[in-house]
Amino acid sequence: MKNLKIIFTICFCVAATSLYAQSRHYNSQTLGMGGGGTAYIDGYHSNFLNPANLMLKKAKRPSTSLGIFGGLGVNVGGSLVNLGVYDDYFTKGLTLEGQVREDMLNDWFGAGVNNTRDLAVNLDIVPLGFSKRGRKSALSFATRVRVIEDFTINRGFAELAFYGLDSDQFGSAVPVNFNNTTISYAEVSIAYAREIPLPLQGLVESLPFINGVKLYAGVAPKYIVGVQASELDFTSTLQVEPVGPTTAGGITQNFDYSLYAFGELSDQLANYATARQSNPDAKFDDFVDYSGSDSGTLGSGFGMDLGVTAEIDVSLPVLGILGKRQVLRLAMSATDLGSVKFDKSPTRVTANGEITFDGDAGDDTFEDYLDNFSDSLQNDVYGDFTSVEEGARKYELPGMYNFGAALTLGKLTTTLDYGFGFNSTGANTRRSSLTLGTEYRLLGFIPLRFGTRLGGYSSTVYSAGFGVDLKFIEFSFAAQSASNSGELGSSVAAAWSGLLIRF
Amino acid sequence: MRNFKLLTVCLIVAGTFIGCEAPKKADFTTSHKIEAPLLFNKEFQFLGGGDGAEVLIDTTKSEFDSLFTIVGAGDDFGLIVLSKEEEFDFGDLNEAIPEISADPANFSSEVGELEIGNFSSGDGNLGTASFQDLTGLNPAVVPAGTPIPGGSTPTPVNINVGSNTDFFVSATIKRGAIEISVTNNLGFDISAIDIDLNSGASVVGNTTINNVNNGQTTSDQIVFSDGDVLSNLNVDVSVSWNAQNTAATPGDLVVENIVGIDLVASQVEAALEAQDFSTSSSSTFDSSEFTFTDPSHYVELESGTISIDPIVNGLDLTIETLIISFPDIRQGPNYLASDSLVISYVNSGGVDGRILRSSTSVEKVVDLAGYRIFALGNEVNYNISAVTENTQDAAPGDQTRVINETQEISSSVSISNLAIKTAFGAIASQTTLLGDDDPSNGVDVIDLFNETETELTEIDGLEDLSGQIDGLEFTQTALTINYTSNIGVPTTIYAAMLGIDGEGEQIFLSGTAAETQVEAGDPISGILNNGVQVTPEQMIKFTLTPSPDGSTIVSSTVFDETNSTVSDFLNNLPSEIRFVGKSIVNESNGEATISTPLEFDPSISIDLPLAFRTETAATFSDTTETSDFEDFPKGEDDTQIADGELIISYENGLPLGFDIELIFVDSLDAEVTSVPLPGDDLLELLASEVDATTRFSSNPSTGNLVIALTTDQLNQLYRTRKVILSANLRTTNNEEVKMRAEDSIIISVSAKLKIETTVN
Repeated sequence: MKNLKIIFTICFCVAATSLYAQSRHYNSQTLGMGGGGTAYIDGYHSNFLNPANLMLKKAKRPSTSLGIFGGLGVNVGGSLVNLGVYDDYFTKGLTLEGQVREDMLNDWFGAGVNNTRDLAVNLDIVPLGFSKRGRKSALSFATRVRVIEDFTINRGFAELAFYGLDSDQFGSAVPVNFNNTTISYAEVSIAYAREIPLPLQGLVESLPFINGVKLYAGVAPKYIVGVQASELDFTSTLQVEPVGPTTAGGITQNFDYSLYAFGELSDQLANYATARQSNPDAKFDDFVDYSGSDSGTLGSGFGMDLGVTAEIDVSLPVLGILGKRQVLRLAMSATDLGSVKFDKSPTRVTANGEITFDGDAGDDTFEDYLDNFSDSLQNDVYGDFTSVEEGARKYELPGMYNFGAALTLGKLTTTLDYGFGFNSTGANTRRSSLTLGTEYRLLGFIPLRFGTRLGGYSSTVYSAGFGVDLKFIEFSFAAQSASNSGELGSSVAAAWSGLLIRF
Repeated sequence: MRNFKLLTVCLIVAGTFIGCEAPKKADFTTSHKIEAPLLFNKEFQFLGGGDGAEVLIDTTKSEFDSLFTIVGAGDDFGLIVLSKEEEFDFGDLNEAIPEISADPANFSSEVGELEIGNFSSGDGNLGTASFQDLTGLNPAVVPAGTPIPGGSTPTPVNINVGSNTDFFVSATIKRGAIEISVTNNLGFDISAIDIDLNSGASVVGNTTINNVNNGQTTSDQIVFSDGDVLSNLNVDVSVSWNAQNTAATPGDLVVENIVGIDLVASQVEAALEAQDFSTSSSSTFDSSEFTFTDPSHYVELESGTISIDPIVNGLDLTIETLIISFPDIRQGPNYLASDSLVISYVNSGGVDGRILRSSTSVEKVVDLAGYRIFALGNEVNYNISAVTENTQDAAPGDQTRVINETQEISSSVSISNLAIKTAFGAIASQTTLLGDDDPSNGVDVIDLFNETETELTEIDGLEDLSGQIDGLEFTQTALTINYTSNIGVPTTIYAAMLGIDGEGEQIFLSGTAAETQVEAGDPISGILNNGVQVTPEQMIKFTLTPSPDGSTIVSSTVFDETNSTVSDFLNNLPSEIRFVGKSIVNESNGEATISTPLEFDPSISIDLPLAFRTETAATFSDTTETSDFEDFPKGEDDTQIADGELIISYENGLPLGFDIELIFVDSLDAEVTSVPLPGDDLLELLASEVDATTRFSSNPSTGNLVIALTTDQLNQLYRTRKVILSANLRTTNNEEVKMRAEDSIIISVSAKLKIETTVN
């Protein structure tokens, strides 16, 4: 119990790991179709993927939509989530010791002790969304809370987990590292889209198989409220001396860590560090008791999503059997352009030192020695840090370029998306990804969706979704998983449409 | 076509899910090893506490507080001594002071023979006889100078003197006489006067007075016989004369006076002069406990009273003065005869203490505190003397009283509630119980296990130790009775001292020397051990050093191996010692002085130097109830401890070695497992070397112990509810060793565990 706070404080982001993942916005429709949707997503969700799509008029859907708790999506993935290793070593009744343990770690982390694997979590919640489509333009208002977390460990960390304090493995110093970054913020987005008059009206319609073209453009500026952020980078080496009749053994850890913190937590850590300078007996617990009351006041920023969509009425004879109405949409968007800056009491806490557990209780009883050691870890070792005021820390939004195409043939829709990230924030990656998806509307109101994504931040994933999508209301789910984690790891995602009403 | 499209979609969806990587049910086992030092060079000092040092015996704990002392000088400097002193609260031994008492003694004092003096208050003329009656002549014809012929009274003339004796009415005479005086105023000389004294009509005496000249007054006595009764006194008078010339004018023969001469009566009705009378009596003291065999013997009283019951005055006379003196009861500071106790009934100092006639006095009580009683032969004498009022001084009409010589005053004297402060004399041997006597098991019967009667000394620190250690032989045992006393009389204490160790084993402390050994004939009856009379072999005695002058002295009696079984007694490591006993004061019954308060304040002092040997291995066992093992993995649990080792390195500075065995038992006291397993090497921790001279530890021993537990053992440990630590203790070479507080053992402990956790 005593250690809970320090664990929380140092790794509080780990506690929030249940939230965050892929940077491209998705809802239950687009996730079910592989996670694309640049040319398909509509309604207020368009604010975050392609604002131009506010102008899309699908089938007989009303022009107004309202989402109350209007969407939830969570995506967990990364190289640390390796279902292949899991299935090979953790499902066959093996005892993870000796060569089996070594093979498992090699397959998971590779042979290098400094190899790292990461876990990314992305959580999107759309508490409220509203969109109104007019004949020539559309307007939308949407909020999104986004939590992005990235947790990375090295092989040494895993060795500690699977070997324990084993002098055979840690007889010489082994690096044991982990880091964790958490960013959470809330976005308030207002999007505007309108149809763009084509300069060559009539020319396009004269092309084969094209009956007509409409071009939409949209932009969605957004104000960003920083909720919480932290960065913890912990590096250490661990050495365990063997225990025997002639050697008493001993455990030594050299560590070095830094932690960025803001707001109340930052102030508390700074106060504690200051107090320790005059009173070495100052207790961490007496100073650090984060209440979370500063959430939402730590920073702010601006961002923008923008996009264009061309909606083409086509007549492809070869596909005529799949539907009389054939619509092809082509779209491009740039999303999450901007940044959020956390500027309230930014502090960087750093500490380094050596922990030695050698059983030298001195004048203490054994029980007191253990208690004191625990206190000492909290207050004198890990807690003996230096707090330095830092300037505001800016985090780029996980910006992406997205291109998408969607072909609707009656009840069947197929999509293709291509994208890449502008940065590596959170789960964002500069690796290109290709997404393919299909939706078939059974009986017209039961959408069956499936899709796949190749590339991006994980191995190839497949997704599927279903639900009820009536004219006035939608209620649907989607899930996604990788087929083979491999070196790039796995990804699992889920989305729920929330309660979406159209009128 | 529609069906084809639907089938296509379904196949694609199914293929998608089938192709997805899906986690299977987890089924694996992790294997962790933990190697960690638990203690490194931790020093455990044998004795101490409160200074931060880790100690094996923490003397700051309540059960050890003040239990240990350290020899501060000499050859044994630094030696630990287990000391315990417990004061006994017996109160005083005043019961050994002899008691004396006297029955109330009645006394009475008769007024006795009554002395009669004056019969009348006035002078002269109790009655007359005329010239004519006595001579038969007409006085008118016989003027002075007239010759008259010789002759005599023709008929005695009666004079009723009783009518004029205002002080006398009647009396029964025992002896004595009256003197009657007559005056001759007849005018001529009388040759003889014959007087017959009559009591009424009876003549009770007579006399003849010769040759009484004219004008002469003369007298004569009439002697009475015992039993003569005088009443209504009158006299018959007759005269005879010779012929002569008258010398004066004829007058009368006058009876002037009647006075008692040594006239003693047994009963009178008269106006009596003051009567004094006295008597003596005595009270006798009980001689069972104290005897006054010499005039110098005395008891000085702490308290007590002498009471004179109301004195009954059976006389019709007021007792003007009554003195009761006690010549054997004297007041300090000199306690001479002149300092005797005197109790008076007088009218003095404004207090009328007289005892009025036919009445009763008030009771008188005198506090005897501080008085000494010299009662030779155990008798206290006292004298009573009284003086009555003189009724002749009483008012007329109240002067005459009827008194009988047997009338008396009476009362009784009580000397009671005597508590002796000091007694000097022949004191009988006194037996006094030490401590309270609970009458529920009989009066003057004391039992070691009667919590009211026994003096219990608890040695908390030994309770656990005595139950755990067996076989240590302490070599310098001693038990001391320290006491303060002011008893100047030879006094012997007979005691039963029972030591009970932590396991309930009982050992008596017995005397083995002449001065401590209790014999069969000694007065030990009534000392019980749980209802059974203890035997002489179960008792010990000792004598108190007499106080030379009655002042309080401090002394002690030491029981050691030369005079007692104290070695066996204390080697049993008694955690409680029960004591009952009795004191025999002045067992010889000789002359002695004894004073209150009779103080005897003993304390028992146990000194158990930690100098001991183990001829054979001493055993130590300690059972600890524990729930710490409940969380240990069961055989079927997912988490198992595959291997476990505790490696103990030691540097033993204690002159005591150990063979250790740990027995793990379940809730039904069935053995779960043990360390080491039967047949395995002992876990042996060697004793330090010992200096041949001082017997203290001189050079520590070093070594390692490895406590290894197999998987099977570890899988059963969860059943453990008790751990029994059993150790064989050996002093270095099984010889005598001595422990110092700073003797210590340094231990390093490391653990090596292999933990397997199965997930499926």
